[in-house]
Amino acid sequence: MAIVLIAVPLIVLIVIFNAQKSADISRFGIETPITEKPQSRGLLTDDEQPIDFAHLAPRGFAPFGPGESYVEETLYEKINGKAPLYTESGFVKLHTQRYVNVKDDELTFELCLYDMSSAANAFSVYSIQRRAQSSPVDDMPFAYRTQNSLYLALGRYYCELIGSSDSPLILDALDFIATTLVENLKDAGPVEIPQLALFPVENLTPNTFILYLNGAFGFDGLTNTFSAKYNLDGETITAFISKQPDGAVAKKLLDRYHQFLLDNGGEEIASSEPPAKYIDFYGGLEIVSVENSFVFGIHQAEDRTAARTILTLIRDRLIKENQ
Amino acid sequence: MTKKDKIKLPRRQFLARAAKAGLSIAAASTLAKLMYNPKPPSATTDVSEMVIVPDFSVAAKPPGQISIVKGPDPAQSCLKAVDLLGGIERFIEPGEVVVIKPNVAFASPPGLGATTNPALVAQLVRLCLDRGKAKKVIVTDNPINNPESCFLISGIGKAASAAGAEVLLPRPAFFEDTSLENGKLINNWPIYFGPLRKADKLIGIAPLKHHHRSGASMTMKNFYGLLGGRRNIFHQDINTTIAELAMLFRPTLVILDGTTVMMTNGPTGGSTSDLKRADTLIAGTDPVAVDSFGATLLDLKVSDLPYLSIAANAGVGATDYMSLKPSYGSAG
Repeated sequence: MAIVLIAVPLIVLIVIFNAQKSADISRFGIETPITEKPQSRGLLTDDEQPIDFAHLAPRGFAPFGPGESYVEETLYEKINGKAPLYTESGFVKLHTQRYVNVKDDELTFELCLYDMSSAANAFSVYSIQRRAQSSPVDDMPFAYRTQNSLYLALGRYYCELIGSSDSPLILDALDFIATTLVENLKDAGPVEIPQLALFPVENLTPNTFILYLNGAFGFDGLTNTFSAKYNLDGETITAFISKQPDGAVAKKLLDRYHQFLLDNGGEEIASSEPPAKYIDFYGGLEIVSVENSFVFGIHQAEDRTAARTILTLIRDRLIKENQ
Repeated sequence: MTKKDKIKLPRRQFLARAAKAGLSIAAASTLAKLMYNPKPPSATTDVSEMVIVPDFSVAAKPPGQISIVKGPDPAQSCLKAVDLLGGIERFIEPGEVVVIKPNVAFASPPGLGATTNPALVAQLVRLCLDRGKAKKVIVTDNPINNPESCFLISGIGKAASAAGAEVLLPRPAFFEDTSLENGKLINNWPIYFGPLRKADKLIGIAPLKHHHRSGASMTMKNFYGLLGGRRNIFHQDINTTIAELAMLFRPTLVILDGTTVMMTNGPTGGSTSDLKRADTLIAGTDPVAVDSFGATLLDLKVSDLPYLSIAANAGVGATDYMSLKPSYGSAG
């Protein structure tokens, strides 16, 4: 009887899943719904079972429901319209667990651990979603707190700890879980992102790095692009660096991005510093240049002098990098 | 230059996309998770077997009305906004069955703004029962993620029940195939139809949120929750999908809660720092107009949300909400 109880629902699930996968979806412009996934190599299991995070419950809290896990095909069930942000960035698996305070069931929080398959992918989704109103967490290079939540990138993992409120009980619990994860995920891959060191520290605004794996600034060709904000005499300047395979590819990318800006309404500004190209883009200044295999530049600057100063700092740093 | 590079973007769209670039960017853990929606989209369903979604709109004079109320308490603002439209009695006849469709998409605590404010849902339930003299009010949604958890953790299940509503969770028999006449995407697709089968009126009530894929989630996007099947596929062409939802579901009334707006990291959010108080609630009979005004609270324009114009061009409503001469008020 027990076997029947288990087998029948499983068969139903398999039939449903297969039938849905084979549905006609050509009207969405998709030839096949199957995408190649990165292979999971982490310390977490490769099967479909949720990881047991119940035992991580901080003092005063208990697991609230069972742990869950989601893969690329099912992630939308958990986060709906935000799923593409992850699935387009190397997502492998999400593990979740909710906890509830044993004395006050209004105090809950959820652990969401995304396996993003590489440190760069994890840093990308971490940095893109970073909240402006936040504060860094001591001893964790890529972590920040908001009033009710804590977020961290840890090697190949991106972790969200989301509290139902800003209760000190919850915030302490989030700290406990974060610390525990750091201790237990030591083999999660590199915790440093070497490309960040390409940005000169002078005038750099801390914790403003963003990694765009694809489509930086609306241009599909601008891949693996890091950006950072600088503050110079009160002017905020956004700088970017994109590492390409070699100098020839970088030069082609420079030309394509330059043309893309012009095609979309930008106007060329005479530049005396080739190969840098200056473009007036609806009142904002775009600068794009190349140094060996790096495409770099300034995005949407208001002040030309400040933009040129930051551009020069970055160019000098990249020249050193190439020596 | 590749063909892909040549895609022309309007300035505003380009800047918005550029600013948000990157943002534009288990087998079920329980059997129940999938069993409530077991019907896959089929390419062979007989048209005669498909359901037709009733038009729940009421004749409005002039056609399309909206009200905009400022106030810190969405429940109070709701009362005022409906009054400005002529009162709930204009929309509900005594003895009718009313379906309220909140956004219960996530098992997210109410303070995070990812789901409809439970106190607002409760207020609307009471309004329909007490002043509208509805025979029954059903509060329902079709969250993909465990519905029980979503209704529990969002607080909507408890609040709606306490106010006198029947809270209905999805189950297999509630899903039926439908096709939108002349629709490009919603063809032969299962929808969450059961609660609508015996309903007289349909009211959508949604939080105002940023949305990673569509730019904004408001009253039109709210009806995405009535799609069945593996509906994530609709995110591939989200603008057409939302416009077609507005053509398929013609609600009696929609209410958009912009008291607290999720400005970033939607539709899930997670941090209270994603939220901003706008102290504004909009009600109306024209979802396109309501959402067009709602866009302004997200610092967006109609041109930033293509689905608004697609729906307007299809005759669903007006993006120029000022042409409807909104009624303004304050509450609380």
